[in-house]
Amino acid sequence: MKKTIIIAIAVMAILLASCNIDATDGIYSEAASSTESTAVTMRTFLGQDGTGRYYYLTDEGIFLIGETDALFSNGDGSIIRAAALLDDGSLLILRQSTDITKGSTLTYHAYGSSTYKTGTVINGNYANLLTNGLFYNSLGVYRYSGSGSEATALEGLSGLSDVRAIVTDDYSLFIIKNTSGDYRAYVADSDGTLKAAGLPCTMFENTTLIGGFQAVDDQNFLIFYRQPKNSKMQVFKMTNSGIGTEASITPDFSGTEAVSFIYDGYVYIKDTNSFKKIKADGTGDPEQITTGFAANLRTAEITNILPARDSEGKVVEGVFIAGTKSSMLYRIDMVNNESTQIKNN
Amino acid sequence: MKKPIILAIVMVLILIAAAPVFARSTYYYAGDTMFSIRAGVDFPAFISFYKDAGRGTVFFNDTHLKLGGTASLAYQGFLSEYIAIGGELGYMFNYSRSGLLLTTVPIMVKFTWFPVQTGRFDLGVGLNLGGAFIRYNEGKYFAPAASVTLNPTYYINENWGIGVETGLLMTLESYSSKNSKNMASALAGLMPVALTLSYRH
Repeated sequence: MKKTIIIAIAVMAILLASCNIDATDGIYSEAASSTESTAVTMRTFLGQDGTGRYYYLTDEGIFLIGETDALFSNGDGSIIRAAALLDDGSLLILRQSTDITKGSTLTYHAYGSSTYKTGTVINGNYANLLTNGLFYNSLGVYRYSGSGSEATALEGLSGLSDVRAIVTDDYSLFIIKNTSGDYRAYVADSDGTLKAAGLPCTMFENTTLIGGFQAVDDQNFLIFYRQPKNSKMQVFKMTNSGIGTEASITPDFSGTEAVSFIYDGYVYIKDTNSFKKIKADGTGDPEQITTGFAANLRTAEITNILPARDSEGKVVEGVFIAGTKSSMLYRIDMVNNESTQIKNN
Repeated sequence: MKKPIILAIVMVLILIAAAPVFARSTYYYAGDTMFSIRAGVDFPAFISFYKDAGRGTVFFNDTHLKLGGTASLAYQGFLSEYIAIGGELGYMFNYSRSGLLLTTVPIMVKFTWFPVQTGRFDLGVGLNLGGAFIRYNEGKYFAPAASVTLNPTYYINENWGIGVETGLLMTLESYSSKNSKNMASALAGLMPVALTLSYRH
């Protein structure tokens, strides 16, 4: 009898010692943080128009919250790869032909009183379109003025290869290999104005490891870069005069992408199971956030986060909208430190 | 939340206090055995993140777990007229809000006290100790587990009885302070309500 009890205790001890090695969060913690899934697989939250309506891009097309039918859907031998909602409610849509030899088509759809006009095709074959309306290919980075069929190239951003672009609200970061084979960093706002240009950035040669980008203000930016050897996410501070390392985020930062937003002097970066809060100047130790606004979102796969707008299209201070891959949208209210789901009903 | 718990405790105390009235003589003898199967539902009662004051304890719907199911097999032998000891293997499942499945497989040593035993009617008060395999998404854990149960049973003949069992199963997911998941340490409670079918011999 004694032997049996000893063996039972030993087996339990082994089981306890070897348990849960492969998980990144506690089991109950992860379950209690789960968010309600929807049938929608969101690719990008596109933003809100002048009346505050929510636009989003899924695997099936572009939708408005509350509408069953897509505004624009895949079809006619093409799929929608990317889209951008412009300030006046018009849409830029980048379609990729299912025939890979045919490339892509970028169209501009002006918003009428209640519907979208037939698209104007913008000449050129573009690799990608960002949610702030800038787009690029190997020849350069472009914007569209809203009329005609030609795009306007951003000055100095031409002859490109190995382009990595990340957008945060109004600003885009471009890491580009120029014709001389050197890597250079650029930041442009949605109007195409360069805020930083041609900054040497040999540290970002492995562009796939750039996890995120955050504008602190019009002149200061943060780049989140995952170090190749240990996967630690490192924060680089960027101005128009150069890039420097300012802080290293906590070693257990495990996310491969670092979606972020800025509020009240702090940047909140999404990790796998939490948010990391760092000072916007890139200094100090990060703080892990799992409660309050983060409670519903800490395990959600967030596509992007944009400032919320009211029914008149004005930015609401301290409120953000997060797009999630499988749980639609979440309204992050930093003033009240809470988040609520916005569903399609 | 408090009212049903208080009511249940009061009922158990009344039944225990009244046991001598019902049980003028014992029905079971040392050496008797009992086999039971259970099937029913389980309510996610609470999850306490006891190392994370910010998250605290969440109850029922706020656990983000949905009503689930439970089933188990138990075998016990009587050590005396009132006390039986045995084992129980169970299976419980609950879906989370995101649609992922949380499974709990308790393996317990079972102690049951029968303060009421008329031959036709039994009341079993159980204390179960052991462990539970819990699994959710990519996470697996073997947790120390304990449960208390209340099981009134009506015997339709000499051997076969049907009843209802309810109680509270608690599992502990604990991480040391050196572990990055330390703050995720949790005590979880599941509340099964099941129909039981018992065979005694």
